[in-house]
Amino acid sequence: MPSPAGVGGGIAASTVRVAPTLLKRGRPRFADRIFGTSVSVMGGIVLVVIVGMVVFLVLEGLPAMQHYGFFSFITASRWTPSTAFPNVSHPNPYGILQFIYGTMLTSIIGMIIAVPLAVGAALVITEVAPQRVKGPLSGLVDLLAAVPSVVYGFWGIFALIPAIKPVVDFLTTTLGTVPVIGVAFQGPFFGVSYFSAGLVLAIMVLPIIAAVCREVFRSTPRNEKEAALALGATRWEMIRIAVLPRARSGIVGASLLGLGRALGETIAVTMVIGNAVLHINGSIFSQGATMSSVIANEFTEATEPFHLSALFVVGFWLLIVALVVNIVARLVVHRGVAL
Amino acid sequence: MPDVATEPAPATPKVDGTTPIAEASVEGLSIERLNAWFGKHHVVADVDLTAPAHRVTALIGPSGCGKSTLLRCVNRMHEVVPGARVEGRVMFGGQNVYDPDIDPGSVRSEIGMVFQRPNPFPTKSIYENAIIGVRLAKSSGNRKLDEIAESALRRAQLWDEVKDRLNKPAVSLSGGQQQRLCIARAVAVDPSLLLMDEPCSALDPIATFKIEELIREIADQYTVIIVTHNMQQATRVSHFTGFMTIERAGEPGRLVEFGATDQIFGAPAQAATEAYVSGRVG
Repeated sequence: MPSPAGVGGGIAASTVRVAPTLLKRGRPRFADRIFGTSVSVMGGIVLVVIVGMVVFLVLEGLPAMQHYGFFSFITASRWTPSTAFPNVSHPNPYGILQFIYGTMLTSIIGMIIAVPLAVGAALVITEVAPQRVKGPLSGLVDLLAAVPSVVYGFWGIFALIPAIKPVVDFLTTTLGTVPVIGVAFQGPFFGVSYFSAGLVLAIMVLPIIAAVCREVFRSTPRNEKEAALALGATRWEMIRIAVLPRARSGIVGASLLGLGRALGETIAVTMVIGNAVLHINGSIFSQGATMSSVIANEFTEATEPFHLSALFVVGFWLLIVALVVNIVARLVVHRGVAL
Repeated sequence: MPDVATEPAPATPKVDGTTPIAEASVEGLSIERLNAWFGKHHVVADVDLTAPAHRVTALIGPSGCGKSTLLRCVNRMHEVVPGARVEGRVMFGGQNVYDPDIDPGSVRSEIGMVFQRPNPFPTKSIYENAIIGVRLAKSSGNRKLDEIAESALRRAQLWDEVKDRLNKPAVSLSGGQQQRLCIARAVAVDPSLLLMDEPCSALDPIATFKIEELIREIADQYTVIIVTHNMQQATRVSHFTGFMTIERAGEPGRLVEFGATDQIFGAPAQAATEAYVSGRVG
């Protein structure tokens, strides 16, 4: 090691350095303790709220669950509060299977439409649009997320439904006549339907999916895109070779995030789904209800025995469905990162 | 232009110097009055340079002198950066690649490029990486793809190391192997010109040695232009060397001197070249 002595020159004993103390300092400093305590409290509050919500739903739903049995709700698909009596527990008049079906069906329709649109929009924003257009375009997509859901409902009723009528008629007369899958496309179509709700959901979840995909695409390393271009790839080939394969798990994660929102969306769906609570008939053009729409629709007039409690049971199962989707999303995204 | 007589002396282990250079200049590459910009920033000014066919031409110079930009102008990769602009001519195969009728994609598929950092496609297998250029060009049926992959990997001296795990992802290879895979990917389409942008700067000395050996090996089939920071590398692999520099920050880079590698390093004509190659600046 070069000796510092030569640099110091004439300076002698007075500059001897004191060894720095490596001992633990006695107590953490005051600001550290304040910081530690306050963030712990904030984190704790979040946890308490989540646990409190589950406990609350279970407690409120308990009377109905005790009366009819825990699983009887998800094995029946007739929701007929007027046939509920305080002393009779069979059959359970509060079957919610058709609501689970409705929630799933509208969300799936929404995702089938939204995912390709969102991926396309994100690709336009990151790769295709001219540099000057990218910013404003990106902002416009984000703006879709800021539209209140009740406005989407209104728009669905007065603009979307009249506009899709010819499309639905076309599907009914073509796909509706095909054996097996035809069931899903049979009429009659009254405007309000699972399909209309799915369309509205598609447009509502599009900005979330597009925003996440945009960031995923943007994170493609430049040198991988250049590797594709340097091989003579066109823009589409470059996207196919360099951008999309890397983004696969990101797209799945974004879609599941969107799905989470679609599953819970209430007002807009309630406005365009028709709120028919009685049965499952298999057609996407029939009227129906979702778990959240039935709660929003009925909780102010839930006067039958166990009616309100049964709505809490619906809320409980909605939470379970949402949790499962979230957990799956996390697993998929984490596995993607590990790849 | 180097004098034909200044054929490099066989001091370094180079390919045999039997091909006459007069023939070379026909199928080689010539750059004429090339200027390049990033937005308003002028990065390369008035470069005239001829890279003879079946020879290795090195571009050396300090960081920021525009040598990588110049290289990327050759296969029209410079313009993929937003705001980038090029003026001048690049004559390749008797055509100006900047002619308005020319498709940049076709130019890039005719000219191979190897980048500074190994950039195989991480989700694709070794095999898929090797033949992806051929797939893009759609110039061959599936039957021949296996042969093309093997021959490209052999030329990149990677075949023996990967022949038993062609379906493993490319990221399972070491950095040096990845870079040789990138070379295989570039030569698989059989380009006549190969551009290398500091191909060893992210590699350790052993991997660097292998790549250099490979460059010398393939030089009899390809015209190679290599940008390098490493002057020893330039002397080891190249027949011709161009020295680029900038006079001061913000000025565009210019080609100061071009000649046979031995002349550039042994008896440079310009003071700036002499200062750089002797290690006094840069």
